[in-house]
Amino acid sequence: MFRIALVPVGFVDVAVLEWLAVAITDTTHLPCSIRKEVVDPSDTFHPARQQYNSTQILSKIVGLQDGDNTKLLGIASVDLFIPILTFVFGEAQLGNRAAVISLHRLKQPFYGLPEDNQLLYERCEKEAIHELGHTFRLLHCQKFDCVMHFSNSIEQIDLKHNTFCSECAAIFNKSL
Amino acid sequence: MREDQQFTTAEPMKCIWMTAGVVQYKLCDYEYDCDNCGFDRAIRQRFPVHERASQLTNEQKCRIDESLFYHLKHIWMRVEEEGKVRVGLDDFGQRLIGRIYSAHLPDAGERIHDGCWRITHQFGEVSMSGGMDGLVVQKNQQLEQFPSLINSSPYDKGWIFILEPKDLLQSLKSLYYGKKAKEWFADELNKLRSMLVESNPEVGITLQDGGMFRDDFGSFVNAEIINKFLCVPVPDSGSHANSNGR
Repeated sequence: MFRIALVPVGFVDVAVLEWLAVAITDTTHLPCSIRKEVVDPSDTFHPARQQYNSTQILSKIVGLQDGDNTKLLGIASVDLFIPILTFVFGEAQLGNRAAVISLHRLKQPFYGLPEDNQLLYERCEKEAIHELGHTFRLLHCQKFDCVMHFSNSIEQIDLKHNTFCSECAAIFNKSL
Repeated sequence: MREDQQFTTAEPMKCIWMTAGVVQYKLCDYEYDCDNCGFDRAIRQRFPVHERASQLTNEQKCRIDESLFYHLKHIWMRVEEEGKVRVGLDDFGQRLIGRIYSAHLPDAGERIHDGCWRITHQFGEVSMSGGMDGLVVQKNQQLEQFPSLINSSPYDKGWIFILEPKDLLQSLKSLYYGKKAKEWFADELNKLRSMLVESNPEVGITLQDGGMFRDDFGSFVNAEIINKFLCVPVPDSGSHANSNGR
């Protein structure tokens, strides 16, 4: 049976990690724990972009030792990017064991709005499930309310649910 | 699924600004077509910081003019007076090519065919589609001196030529328009995105959520990618010889 391990990338609010551990188990019915060691993202920083290279962080997470049946989900507070895109909310290995999400653009103050922790938690959960879905071979879904729908903006994350549509759920369950 | 996230047609659709906590109560009247929603525009103008972030991403999006017709090789067409058609390269195409060094256009009276005009770019030359069958009525002479107008003003000053179509109605049937054009554009962007994501040997194939293409995404492409999206095979010279007849 698969299990999920959350990996803090740099400093991450422990409340977010603990909430995610519970929420991911609720949604996926897979056990989820928080790893003690922290992945240091500092050498993936790109000074010109003032962002951190998501694929390089993923590479560090891939290098962590854990059982074959463990999916490793990095949780970063810093802003992530890949070279061709302005930013990424998250990135995952397709059908493999590692993924990473960033909280940076999920927070309301990034958009000039007052802090809203409940909304932040909901967005974190959606992004976590989305990236974990990729590690279970799920691709992007055309249904705008499926958690596997691609989002280029925060509004699109708010639009989608925290769960898989029936087709994505079937693929997910089959890969367990 | 939580109760508040149940989404059926029987339930009202919450405005994204309500979900985001910006307004207390507002239902969506546009089936989440925010681009055409006046309320969405008004809210974005109200929050200067958000507006700045929004403008940034809009600039980095490929723009599409939904009032135009599109050929699948990224040629736009506008039907004008007396059924003549103005032709140009769309924003996706010009961004993909990057800096345009020269444009070789067909002269007035020439018959339109695949490869009837060409663009020279940083990696070489690409033969472009003429969009639809017909005769060239006028070419944009400014492009001979200022080819980068295609980059700076793809839907306006950077037009390529005006043609008199052979069978306008028939030709329009095979083109994308309106919502279909928008969906096709999004598909093309996704296709390009998957081509451009660098494969890291340690990590393998990855998928991402979020982000837009950087404004300079053309600097990540190569001749092969440009040709895949834009290039058309040039037919035998005999079948498209300079012709005034149809």
